Amino acid sequence: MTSKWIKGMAAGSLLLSSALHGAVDFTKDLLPILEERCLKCHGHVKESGKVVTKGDLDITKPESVKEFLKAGHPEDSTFYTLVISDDEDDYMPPKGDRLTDAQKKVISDWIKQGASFEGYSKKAKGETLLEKLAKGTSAPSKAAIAHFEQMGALVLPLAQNSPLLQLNFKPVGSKSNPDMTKRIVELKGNIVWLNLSKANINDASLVPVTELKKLTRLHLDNTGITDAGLQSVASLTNLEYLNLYNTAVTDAGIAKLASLKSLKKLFLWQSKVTEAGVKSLQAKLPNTYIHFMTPKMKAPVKKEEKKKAPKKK
Amino acid sequence: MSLFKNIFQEADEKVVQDISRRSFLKHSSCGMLGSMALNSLMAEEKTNNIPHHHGTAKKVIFLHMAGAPSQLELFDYKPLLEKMDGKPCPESYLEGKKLAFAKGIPDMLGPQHKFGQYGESGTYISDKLPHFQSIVDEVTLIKSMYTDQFNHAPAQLLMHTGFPRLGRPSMGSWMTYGLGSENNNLPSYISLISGGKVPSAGKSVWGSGFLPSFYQGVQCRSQGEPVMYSANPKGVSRDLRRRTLDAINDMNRIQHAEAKDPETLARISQYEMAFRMQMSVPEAMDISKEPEYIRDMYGAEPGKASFANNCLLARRLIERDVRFVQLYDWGWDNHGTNPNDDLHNQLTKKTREVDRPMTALIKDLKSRGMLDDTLVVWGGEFGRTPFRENRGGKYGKYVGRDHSPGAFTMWMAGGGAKKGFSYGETDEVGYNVAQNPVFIHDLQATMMHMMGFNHEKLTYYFQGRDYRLTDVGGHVKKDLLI
Amino acid sequence: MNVYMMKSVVVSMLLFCLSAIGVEKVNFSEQIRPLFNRNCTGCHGGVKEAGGLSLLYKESAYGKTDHGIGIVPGKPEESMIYKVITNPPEVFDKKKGKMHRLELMPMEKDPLTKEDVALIKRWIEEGAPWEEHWAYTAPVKQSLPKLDTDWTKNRIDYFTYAKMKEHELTPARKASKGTLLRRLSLDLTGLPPTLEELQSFVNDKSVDAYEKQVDRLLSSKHYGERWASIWLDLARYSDTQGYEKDGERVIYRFRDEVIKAFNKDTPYDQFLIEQLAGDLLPKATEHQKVLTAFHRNTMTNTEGGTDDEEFRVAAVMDRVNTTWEVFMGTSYGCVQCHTHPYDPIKHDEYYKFMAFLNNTADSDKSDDAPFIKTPDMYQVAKMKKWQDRQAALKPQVEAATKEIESQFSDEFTKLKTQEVKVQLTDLKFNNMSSNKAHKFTQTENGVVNVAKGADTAIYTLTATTDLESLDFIELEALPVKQFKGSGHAGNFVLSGLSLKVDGKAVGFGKSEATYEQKGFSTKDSLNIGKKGRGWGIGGGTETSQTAWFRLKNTVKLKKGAVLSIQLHFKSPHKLHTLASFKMKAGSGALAESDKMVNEFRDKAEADISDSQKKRLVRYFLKKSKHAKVYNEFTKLSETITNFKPATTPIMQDLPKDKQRVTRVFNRGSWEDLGEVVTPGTPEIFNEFKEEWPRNRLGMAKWMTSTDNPLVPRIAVNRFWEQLFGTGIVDTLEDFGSQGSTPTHPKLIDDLAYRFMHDHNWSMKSLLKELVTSATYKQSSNVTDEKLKKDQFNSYLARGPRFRLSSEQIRDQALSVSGILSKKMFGPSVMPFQPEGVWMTVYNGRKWTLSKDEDKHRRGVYTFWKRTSPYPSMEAFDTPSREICKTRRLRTNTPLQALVTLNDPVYMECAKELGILIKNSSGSMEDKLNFAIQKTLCRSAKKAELLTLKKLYDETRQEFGKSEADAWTLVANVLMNLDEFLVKK
Repeated sequence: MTSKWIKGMAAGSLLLSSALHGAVDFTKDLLPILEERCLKCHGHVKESGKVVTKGDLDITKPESVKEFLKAGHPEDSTFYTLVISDDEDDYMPPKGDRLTDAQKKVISDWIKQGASFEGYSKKAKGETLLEKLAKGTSAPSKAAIAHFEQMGALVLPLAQNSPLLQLNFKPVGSKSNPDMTKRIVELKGNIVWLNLSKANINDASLVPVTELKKLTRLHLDNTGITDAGLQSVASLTNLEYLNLYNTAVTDAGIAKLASLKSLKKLFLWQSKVTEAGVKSLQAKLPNTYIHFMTPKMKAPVKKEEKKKAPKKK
Repeated sequence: MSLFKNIFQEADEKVVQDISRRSFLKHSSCGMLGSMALNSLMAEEKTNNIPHHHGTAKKVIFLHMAGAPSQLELFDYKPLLEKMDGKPCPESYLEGKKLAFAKGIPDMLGPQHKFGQYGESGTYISDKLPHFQSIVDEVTLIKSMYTDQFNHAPAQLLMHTGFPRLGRPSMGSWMTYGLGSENNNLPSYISLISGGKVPSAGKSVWGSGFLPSFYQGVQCRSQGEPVMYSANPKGVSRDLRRRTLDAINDMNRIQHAEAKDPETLARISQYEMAFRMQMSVPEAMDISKEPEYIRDMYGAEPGKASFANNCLLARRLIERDVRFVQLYDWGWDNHGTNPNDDLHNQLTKKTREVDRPMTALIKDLKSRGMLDDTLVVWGGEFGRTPFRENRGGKYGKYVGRDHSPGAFTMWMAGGGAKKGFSYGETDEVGYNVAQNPVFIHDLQATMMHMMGFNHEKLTYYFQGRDYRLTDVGGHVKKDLLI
Repeated sequence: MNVYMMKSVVVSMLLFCLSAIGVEKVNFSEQIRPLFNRNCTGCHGGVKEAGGLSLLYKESAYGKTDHGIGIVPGKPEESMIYKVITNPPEVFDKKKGKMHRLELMPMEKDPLTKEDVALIKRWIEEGAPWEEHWAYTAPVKQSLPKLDTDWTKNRIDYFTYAKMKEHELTPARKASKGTLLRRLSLDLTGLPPTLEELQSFVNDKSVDAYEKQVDRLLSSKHYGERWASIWLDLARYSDTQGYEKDGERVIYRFRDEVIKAFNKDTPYDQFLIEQLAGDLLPKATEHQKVLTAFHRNTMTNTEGGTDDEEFRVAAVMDRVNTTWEVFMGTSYGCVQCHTHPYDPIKHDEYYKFMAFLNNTADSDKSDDAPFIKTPDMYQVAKMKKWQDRQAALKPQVEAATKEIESQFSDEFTKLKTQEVKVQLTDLKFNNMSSNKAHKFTQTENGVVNVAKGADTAIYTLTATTDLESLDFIELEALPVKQFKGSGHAGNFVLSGLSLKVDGKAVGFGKSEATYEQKGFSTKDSLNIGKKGRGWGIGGGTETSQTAWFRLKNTVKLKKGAVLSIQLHFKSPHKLHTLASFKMKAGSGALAESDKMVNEFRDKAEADISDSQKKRLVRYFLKKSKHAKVYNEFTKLSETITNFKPATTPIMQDLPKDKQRVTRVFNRGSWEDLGEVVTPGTPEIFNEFKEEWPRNRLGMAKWMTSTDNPLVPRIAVNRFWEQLFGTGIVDTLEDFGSQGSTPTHPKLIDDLAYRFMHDHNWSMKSLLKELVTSATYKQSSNVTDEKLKKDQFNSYLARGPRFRLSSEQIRDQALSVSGILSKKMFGPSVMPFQPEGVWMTVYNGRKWTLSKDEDKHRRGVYTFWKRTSPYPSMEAFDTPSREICKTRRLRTNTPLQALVTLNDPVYMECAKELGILIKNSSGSMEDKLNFAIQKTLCRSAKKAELLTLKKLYDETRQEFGKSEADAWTLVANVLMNLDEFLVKK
């Protein structure tokens, strides 16, 4: 139910946004609006790869957008007129609330300033690592999944109809034992997330882990593994997240991890590593965030007056 | 107990797990889902605990400051408002606006506390949040939140159930319905209360609405019995209770052999889960087990019912794979009518109560490597006005602000949210959103997206319609995500 | 080929051509409409009519759409809907200004399967016969299917047996007598059978033994309580108002009347009319008016700053939606914002129907006005007891009064001579002034007269006194003939009184007077200016009236102490200042007798007024030997006069001139008003007859007329669901095209028709037919093979087995352990509830445990607060009742296990049952058998006895518990068995 102060809100925002004129950049100002409100029917790529382009407009392709506008003249570009039209059955976007005045203004300003696309990089976010890993992966073996489910572990695909798996041993709880990880090799093509946190495992249990080439996240925190175990981890080229919080690994052990070029996050709090060990590993893995210090709080602020003069941004 | 019996029991339980999960999905263990209309069943089949896309977050801690903290004193620094302090509020702001208690033309009220710039992005943070200043680079500040509800109860219902009237499932229920539970001895959706009072909307903000009560949030209390009726009666030790459960299970099995009702086996597994919960809930809730320095970090003291205790409990519950932990802290409704609802004494008291624990929570989660897949959200149900509330037309001794749904600030951290980032702007006095507005349904859609769900596809069929958390609105704000 | 072979060939040939001729025509309702709903009606229905086509309305589907005729009967190629699902044609697009090919339908979804396309083609070829939705045509009596079985007991069994055959299922054997009686007893009364009832049924070998039990249970007074439990869900009954404040609401008489209505088997149609429009019936009885509280259960928002009109509208809309969902199984709420997406109900028809309910006087007021006085039976009984006692005392009091009046003169003189313990001295003022410069004169006997009056004034009077100590000040207001009373305008308002002793202010404590005008008490005079009220004597100004203001504590006085007194006068009326008065200072405890003596000492009997005489008589009575009788009599009269009976909010129409105009809400928003509408019902259903009035009564008559297709079906479906666990139509709340299709379409129509015409809407008669059917009496045991074929017992090839409701679970535990209170009706009760559960944000109301038998009342009587429901019943799925809940979801959760294992209420039951078992006769085995017989209504199995005995022994020996504790645990086990918690 729309209510009074929504209208008040719109009035208020008009007040300021007019101050925001200046050059409208397609990627920074316009694309976020289009992605949010138009992409679903104009340029959305379905799982099956088919691109939905209703009224054959695809906002991700500049030439398709150009078809619907006349540079410099928002009033005779359907790209803009449909957005502000009040005709019941053809105003855009058809579903949900109308665009806000500020958003309409961005579109008309952009067209008035010649509707330029330069600087527009088709946000080629490229495939994420997980999409790359999913390519060409065959479905996981049912028997292996049943084996782990029977044991009480949680085996779930990463997403609907995705061949990649997450294997979580935590629900096994007190019944977990060192050789429960034997048969993970049967799923080596599929497992990307492995959670052995708090599991009753030892270094030998990690031997099969070496074959999980697609592993990106590995939880080994609160377990009995030592430096020897890290040997089986060193060859996981896709590993991004490794949690060794509260384990017995030392500097010698973590030195073996220098080969993990794609590692983004390493947690070593309450392990046996020293600052020196961490510094030397950090040198080899410059863009890995390594966390091993105990969290500390600031000393409580003393009563004296803090300097107030706020710096101008 | 003989080994043989143990294995039989275990196998039995496993079978039961499947039957109860399948039969729960299919039949009478929650009546409604019986042979109901096909498409909702498909909705059931589609989710059965698998998200639509791979979610960056797997768990949520929601810190709700019931009463609506004043964004103009804490996060949204407005130099112009400081200058207009004491001057009458310009006419243009007041038309079309509904005021709860303020009358006529109230005077503008400058920020009552000083601000400073912190973190790489130089974000303005109030001096009242000294600890929070140290984690500014971990959080995303959303300054352009707005809602369309004016009173506490409807606004809280909208924030947590997506609809201002009663009867809809809360966010925690939707997440558990979508992703199921990751542990088998704790409820997967728990709520904790502090500040002395229940939020205005009552229990329905963690209720399961029309979803089966299976998905209801379980309120745990840090004083007395953590879960209702979890303590055995006087004189019944845990071993003795185990014997009674064995007797119950044996007789239920005898009955099942004859009647063959799958629900009987499901009840056996629920009784076993109850037995485990009798141990696991008190264990999880016992913060005296935490090392001294961790308790100091939070400022938590065993036995008290405080926000600090609840933050530490939240981390312990998430560590034990509870899916959704919901904290409510009452006492932020600073109208300025008396010393315990004004912007000086009361706001100072409340900020001191929450600043340290919420900061400790983020640092603690981060050090354990849990912040990556745990989304922490902090905020109230609406904002407060830039002018001073003159209840009944005149100013009392105390200073306060009225309700203002037009603009307020929330923050989120972890679970895939950007770090050291500030999103959206309000107008020059902080009364309306000027850039990148985020409606309540947008925030919910974004949170669902982080948990791996397309908010338009996670639906539940009820009374002829596929209902969803974001009702009919909601757009994912991708700019908030890494 | 042997003869046998020949015969089979001939038979198969025959079958073949038979099917060819009588080939089943495509059924629109069962095959085509579901197909449309799944794929097309989303965009071509009520909300959106894309391309000008709506498949909900016949005229649109067969008429012109944007690009041609939707359906052309007999010619699929010319029908637009067929073209777009096979090869979409080229059409002119006015937006683009050029021809372009339509998209293959359904848009954005996977294309239709080949079979679906062929089905549509065949349907159009067969003339595309259109049918309204099955539930929107009136039910007709069905012909019984031909069956060769003697299993069937009544008509119901014919339909269920036919459906079983269709799915190759066979009926189960009859349930054992014990199981059957427990099932029947829980179904009809919500209570398990007692051991005696069980034994007498088992021993009754007569043919109609079962029918006798059915009649007994239907006539039991507990029948009404059981069926009221589900009705309170539909009415969203609660003892609080809902929303944030959720303050208390007195409406429990509605529950009493619903129970009575069920017990006296009010016909279902009459029951509906009384709840919807009881107040509009000619010479409406209290019963009928209270029943209209059905719709006064909507929530009231009393929070500060809320807009009453907004929440009145929300309440009226809730009433519209609830009426349709509860009585007609239609999701009418959708139509608030737009035309119904799947059922043919238009947007404005929502507001036409709302017009019926939009003219009641209630408007979200915090006192839930309008309400009527409805004392419950206990209050009536109490009142009667008092009145009888009062009547008995009256003659004695009258006699005593006469006696006193006869001796009045000598009593009066005796009074005057009585010695006064208290010291009283007249106050002679040496200085008198007022802020309005009035002229004061004081006679030598102390009377002060004030010349002129004023609207407000402050008299300042100073006097000296020789009293050693000061305890109270006396002020006597004297009547002045010329002003016809004691103030310059006949009356006065003493809005303030202050006293200084030698310049030091002195505070006053209690105050009293011979007479105080209602709302103008001496108490208010003590807080000056706060309330603008004070001592006034309107209605008693013809005689002198005296007030005494007692000091907080005695003040020691020096000789000749200076008393300065200020009298404040402020009143909403004019000239209310005191014209003539006399003041005294006194010390010592001021007893009643002192006051009387002091007042009348210098008065002659002749010049005392009647009211003073009456006061004296009362005073003498209190002193006389009749005092005991007289005091009881006065106390009784007082209790009777200010006794507050229970009230009940009711529906009451606004007077003709104040009727509200109802308008359409554009897009459902109450702030965006469209055109005006007058009361009316949707066209798709039976038409609104002229002779019915256009108000709630007319609407109720329209709903309960035998032409209404929905009401009888919804009713029989609800009773069916309560007995068999799932309705014939699974979605009780939605009989529209999106609801489930009935598992036994003929059965529900036959039952609905006969409910109206054979049972004449009698619920008990319908229930009797249901429970005496062979279908109902089957055993609920099932084989694996039958489980695989029909896991949810949709085709009823076995008896019902499902978990009991929260009320039944509580009542059964109390009844089996012998502590259930059979007390009926009256206010809601508060059984045990753990600390810290009861959450009230605003009012201080506590959850105080009800005393003695009220602790063990049936679940239906539990106090229900919307924002903090009773925890153990909430755990067993009782809805919080903010909105109406058509059916409860039966869940199976660990929290329920914790309730029945550890809730003190259930532990108390276990203890009591343990005692019964312990005290039962015979050996250990006899006791165990008695225990199982009492809880599960069957004899024990060998293995069960062993299990329980093992538990008993372990508890006694291994854990060293007492015998009583051991039996308590055995009882606790029995009351946690799945078999005990379900109805089987």
